[in-house]
Amino acid sequence: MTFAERVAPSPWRQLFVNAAVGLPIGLLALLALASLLTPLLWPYAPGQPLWGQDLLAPGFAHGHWLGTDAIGRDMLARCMAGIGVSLAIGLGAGALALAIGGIVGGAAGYFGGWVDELLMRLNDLLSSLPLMLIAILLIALFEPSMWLLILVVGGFGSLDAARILRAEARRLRQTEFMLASQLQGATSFVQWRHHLLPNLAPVALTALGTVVPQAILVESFLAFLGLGPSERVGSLGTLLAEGVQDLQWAPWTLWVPALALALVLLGFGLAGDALRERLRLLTGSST
Amino acid sequence: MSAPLLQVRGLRIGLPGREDCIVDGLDLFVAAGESVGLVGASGAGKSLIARALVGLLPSGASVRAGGVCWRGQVLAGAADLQRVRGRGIAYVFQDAASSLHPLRRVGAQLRECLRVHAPQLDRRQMSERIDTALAEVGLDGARRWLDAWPHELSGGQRQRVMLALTLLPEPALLIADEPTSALDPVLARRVCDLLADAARRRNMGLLLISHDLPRVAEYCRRVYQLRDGRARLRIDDDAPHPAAAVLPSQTTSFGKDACIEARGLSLSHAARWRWPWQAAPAHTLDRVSIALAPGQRLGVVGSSGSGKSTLARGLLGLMPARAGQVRWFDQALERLDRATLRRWRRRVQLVFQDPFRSLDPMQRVDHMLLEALDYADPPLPRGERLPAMRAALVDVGLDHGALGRYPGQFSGGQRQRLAIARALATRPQVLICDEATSALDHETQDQILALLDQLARERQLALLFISHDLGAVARLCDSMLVLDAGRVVETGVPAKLLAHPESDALRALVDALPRAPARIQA
Repeated sequence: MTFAERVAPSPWRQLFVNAAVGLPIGLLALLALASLLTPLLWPYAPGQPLWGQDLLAPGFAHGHWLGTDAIGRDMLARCMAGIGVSLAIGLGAGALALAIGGIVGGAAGYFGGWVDELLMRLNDLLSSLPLMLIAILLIALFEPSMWLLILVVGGFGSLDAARILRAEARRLRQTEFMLASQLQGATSFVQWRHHLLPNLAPVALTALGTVVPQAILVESFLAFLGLGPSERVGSLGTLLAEGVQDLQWAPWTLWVPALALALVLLGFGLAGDALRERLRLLTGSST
Repeated sequence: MSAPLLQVRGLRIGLPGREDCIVDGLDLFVAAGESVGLVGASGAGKSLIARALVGLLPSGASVRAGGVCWRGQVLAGAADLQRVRGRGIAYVFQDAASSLHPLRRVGAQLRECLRVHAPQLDRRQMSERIDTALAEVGLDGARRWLDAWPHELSGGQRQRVMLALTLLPEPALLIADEPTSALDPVLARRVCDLLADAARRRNMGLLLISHDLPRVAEYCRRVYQLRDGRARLRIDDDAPHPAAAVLPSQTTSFGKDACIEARGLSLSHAARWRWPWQAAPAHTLDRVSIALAPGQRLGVVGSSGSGKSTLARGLLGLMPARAGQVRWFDQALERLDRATLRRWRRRVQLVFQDPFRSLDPMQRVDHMLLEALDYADPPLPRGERLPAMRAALVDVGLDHGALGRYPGQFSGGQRQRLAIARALATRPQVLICDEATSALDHETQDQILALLDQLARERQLALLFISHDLGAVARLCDSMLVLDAGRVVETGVPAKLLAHPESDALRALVDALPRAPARIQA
């Protein structure tokens, strides 16, 4: 039931303009912004070793607020760069997963019948492959790079996304507003553009809350195994792997990136949960 | 008088993130053995109140002030509520079909209820109690029902099982939240009769919550109307009231070319293919012929399951005809190729029953109208679109401000206006309304009927009005057709048919009309 007599805000506002969703997204935006601005505002570069300044503990006196690692690289600069890399991989993989998952799941749910059977059985088939093994295999075969990681992790994420979005598309396909637009003479293209995609979008964004952290975790794990991107600037996972080696005499090289990773994951987790909750309220109140 | 069974004082219920309260200072009481009605438009907060009384508010909603007294004592805390639920206050949900456990047989669910509320009974006493309870709700031959799964029962039967379930612990007060809104009028009357009988027999209090004022007025001596979060006493006496007069209808006009036509149309939901030894399944719609010319208005009535909606689907070409044919503008529908059919679709439009489901919640009103205008033939030049959108809104009695809003921001009646605006934006010649007013409360129904009447006259629409609401059909249509089990059993002028129903189906529908449409105070 609804209480429409009192004017409610638009569905998009209802989804996003509230503290439970806004705060975690604000936190993530703040982290991303900090990562982008650090090279401009911070005197040390992430990849540059400084002679004689190795293994400085966090503190303000020597200018390296979060300390330095075993070869004298500034931890704050590395951490911020790592957040940037991890976010880029996570969001890139998430976007790829939603794009593929949206098209495949949307088509399966919308057209149904043999299209649905074919796409979903294919999905089952691919889902049964072990993600980690394939990822390690591919990265061992090709030059490990950020793009390859995004492709592999995003590709695997798209399997889950397709399943979620197919269920939603199937539900939407049977709604009366879709029938109404069909009865007015809408083509499939028009139905996708005007009704299916806008209604899939909130669900897709909610799915992002699980796909992105998964991508970031997988990337961290691979980097931890030494299969991270070969770029000069490491991700948070690379930092963690190095931090473990220096754990005994420089614990900050582990806990600083670990904390950063936890913050990023927390942001996505909270945002996803809150979005799901809002969406439940929204669809519960509009049907 | 001693303390009433249930007393609600200054109840305020709010939703999260909202300053104002949906229910804002509600006062009402129910005495033992008394039947009290609570009516209100959809969205007025009726269900919230019902749930608040038994402490089952949906997550997020909370009681901000006021409280509930049970037999003179304030109900506070989970323990009190737990004690009162079931044996004190029983609750019949709006949607009985989904209130039964789908994976347990009816008998098991009834026995579980008794084990919780009357553990002292032995097996034999239990089954006696259950048998009498089932017989009381009109499900005789208890064995058969006990072994049934919920999905094997019809909607009305499920509603009755649910009722038996709630009556088993012998509650002192029964709260029925829209117990009949999902049922057709014949069933609705039966369920209401059952409720009233049960209440009378066990001196049970009854709080009947509904949007249907006339129906509630017939069964309750006191009726509160909910508006702006407060309850106003609407009826408080037993004076009888003359039955609602049926409005005279316009004369039928014939002799024009039909723009939509069904010739001996048979439709079926059953699979076309069957084993040779299987009997042919009955058609959902059996050899129905209708023809509608511009300006003609045909009402189609029948109880649920009589094939009304199937007829609409058939006329719209959504179901293949098993026999006979559907013709649009003198062309057989099955002969049209897909592209032509798509182009022609704009000329025959449908208004759905539930405007909460027929409007895309994520589509802003201006986009919705733009989409509809896109199908107009010939296409509108760009500069004329905005004026056309505004005109479409003005035609259905909404103002321009609606353009920038989403469907969720309108009330039920406004949404139905939007749905009509969308249907008319493609300039159709035929408008099919499938129970277009049934989901609305009475005042809104009146407004929508008046709107349809006016628009159909102005645009010379051929109107097919499907409804189980005889009053609406009599008011709007100049001819009427009664469907029963897929067949046309009666046709004619509404006023005459209603005065002298010939067929059993129509007689049942006429008998089911609320008989005391109101000792309603202004």
